[in-house]
Order: sequence, then structure tokens, then C-alpha cells
Amino acid sequence: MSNNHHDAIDEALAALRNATPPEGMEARIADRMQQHASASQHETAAAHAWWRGAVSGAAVATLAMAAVLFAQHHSQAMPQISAHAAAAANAGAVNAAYIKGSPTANDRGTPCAKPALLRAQLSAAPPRMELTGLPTPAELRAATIAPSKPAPELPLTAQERELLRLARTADPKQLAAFDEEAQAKLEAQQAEDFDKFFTPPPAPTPPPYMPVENE
Amino acid sequence: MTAIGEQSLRWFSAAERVWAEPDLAVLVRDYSGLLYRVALSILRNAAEAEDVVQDAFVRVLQRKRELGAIVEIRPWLVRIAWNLALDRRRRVRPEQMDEVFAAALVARDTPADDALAEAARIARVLAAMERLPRREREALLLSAMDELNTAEIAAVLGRSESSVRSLLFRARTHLRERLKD
Repeated sequence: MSNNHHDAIDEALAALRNATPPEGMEARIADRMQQHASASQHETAAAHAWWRGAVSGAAVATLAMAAVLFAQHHSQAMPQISAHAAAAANAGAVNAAYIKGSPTANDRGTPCAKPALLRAQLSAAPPRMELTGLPTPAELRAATIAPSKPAPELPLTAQERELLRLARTADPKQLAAFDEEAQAKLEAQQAEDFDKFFTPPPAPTPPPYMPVENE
Repeated sequence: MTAIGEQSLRWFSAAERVWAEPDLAVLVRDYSGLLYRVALSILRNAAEAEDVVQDAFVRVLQRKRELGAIVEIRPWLVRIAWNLALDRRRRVRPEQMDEVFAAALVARDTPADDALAEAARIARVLAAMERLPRREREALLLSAMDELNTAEIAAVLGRSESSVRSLLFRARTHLRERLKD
């Protein structure tokens, strides 16, 4: 009996030992590994692409920031330069007007062609600085005390839009309800019409007494 | 002109590629059957066992850089499949599959009457095995694999060889006693 059990155990273990794998298992394992390898390659490529994108994005952002800062700096520097240039040009024009007959008056293209002469004329008469195109102090003062421009009209409210619609489409009687004077006039008119229609006729006057003669 | 470090890196990656690709195919060819039987002995379900084998080789693929450092490749592979099968066993209930599984284990060339009797005997032994203590059962199941010697079973179970021998002796004794009942 014990041998039978021993044999049964060996039989079960031998059955486990001799179990054959299903057909095509190796191919399926290879496919699965291939899938996994390609998926991991894609993940790695995606991770690398992400890093590459992040680095290039940071570089582009840095360049853009640098460009913005440079542009801001340039735009702040330009008005000063242009103001100086305009002032210098105006000064040159004014000075040239003052120095009539001098070579500089005829030669505006080279206002400093003879700087010694120009300096002498300038020291003799102080130049008047009238900058064209810039507001004068009087204009600036007038602008400061000028009344503010009226604010733009506000859009209509819902009630106002409704009123507008009524005015365009509604009956005059309905419109009159919004105007007290017109409403009172209309009511008075109606009362007058009513009275005119329903006022009882005046009582007939008795005929004049005519004494009857006894015959 | 490339730096020496880049050259050596390139050489190492090429060497790894040349070494790893054929080796994985060889591993699948040589060990997939063993891993399948190991998983089947625990799960008693062919489809689940094949899934375990696939998962095991995916794990191998994930660790292909470490393959060169592994001295005993067979116990290492069996251990991976063993642990995966034990994890999966929590989801399936192999004792419900004993009848079908036992019938599938019977050789196909066995006559029908004998096959039925043999399947019944196998199912009875498998049911008795399920009632064994866990360590004894595991040692007994691994001992069923011809490819594994006692040292390898000990490596898979993380125990000494003498402990494995003792477990096997006790497992057989307990199993015989249970089959007598």
C-alpha cells in the first residue's frame, strides 16, 4: 500500500516533470521581448526628446529674453539721442538764421565749417532756442487746465433698450403712459369725449304760458 | 578626432550588443521549457504558466546589463519565474483546476480507462500536496524538475542543501501519510 502511495507521488511528480510547453511559446516570448524592447526604445527616445526639447526651449527663451532686454534698452536710449540730435539741429538752424550773411548761413550742410567764426558769433549774441515740433510752455499750461474730455457714452441699459424698442414700435397710448403731461392730456381728452357723448341733453324749456280765452 | 572615453564607450556598447542579442535567444531556447514547468507546477494552468515565462524573460531583458555578472544563470532564471508564479498564484486558485490539470498531464497515448484512473491519482496527489506545509511543498515541486539539483533548489529557495534534503524527506513522508487518510 505504501509503495502504491510512493508510486502515486512519483507519478504526479513525473507528470509535472514531463509537461510540455505549448507550441509556439518560444516565438511568443521572442515577440513579447521584441515589443518590450521597442517600447523601451520609444520611451528612451521620448525621454531624450523631452530633454532635448527642454534644453532648446530654454535656449530659445534665453535668446528671446536677451532680445527683449536689448530692445528695451535701445528704445530707452533712442529718445535721448534723438532729442539731443533734434536740439542740436534746431540750434544749428537758429544759429544759422542769426548769422545772416556769414558763410554758415549759406552753407547749412556744413554748419561747423568754420568753427572759430561760429563761436565768435555765438558769443556775441545768445541763441534763442525755439524747438520746433515741441509744445511751448504756454501750450502745456493750457493743456493742463483744459477740461477733461467727456467720457464716452455708456451703453444702454436693458430698460433703456426696452424703451427704445417701445418708442419705435408701440402704440402712442402706451408711449403716453411714460409721459405724465401727455397722459394727463390724453385723459382729459377722453373725459371730454365721454362728457360730450353722455351729457344729457338740456331740459326742454316749457312753452310760454298762453292764456286760453273763454269763448 | 574623438576622445578616448567616447571610443571606449562606443566599443563597450557594441560589445554589449553583440553579446546580449544572441545570448537572450539562447536563454529562451534553453530555459523556457524549464521555466514553464516550474510555473506550471505552482499555477497548474498552462496559459498562466506561459504568461509567467514571458514575464520572466522580460525581466531578463530589463536586466541584460547584469547578465554578465551572474554566475549561475539557471537558478537565477528559475528564481525569477518562481517568484512571479507565486505572485500570480495569489490571483488564481490552482486547487480548482486540479481535475482538468491532472487530465492534461496524463500522457496522450494512454488508453482512455487508464488515463481516467491516472488522472484521478494525480489529482489526489496534487490535492494532498496543497495541504503540505509551504516550504515542504515548494521543495517537493522543485525536486520534480530534473534539471535542478539539490544545490540549485537550495539557491532558489534561499536555504541550505541539507535543509532542502530534510524538507524533501519530510514532504514525502507527510504526503504518504495524507494519502493514506
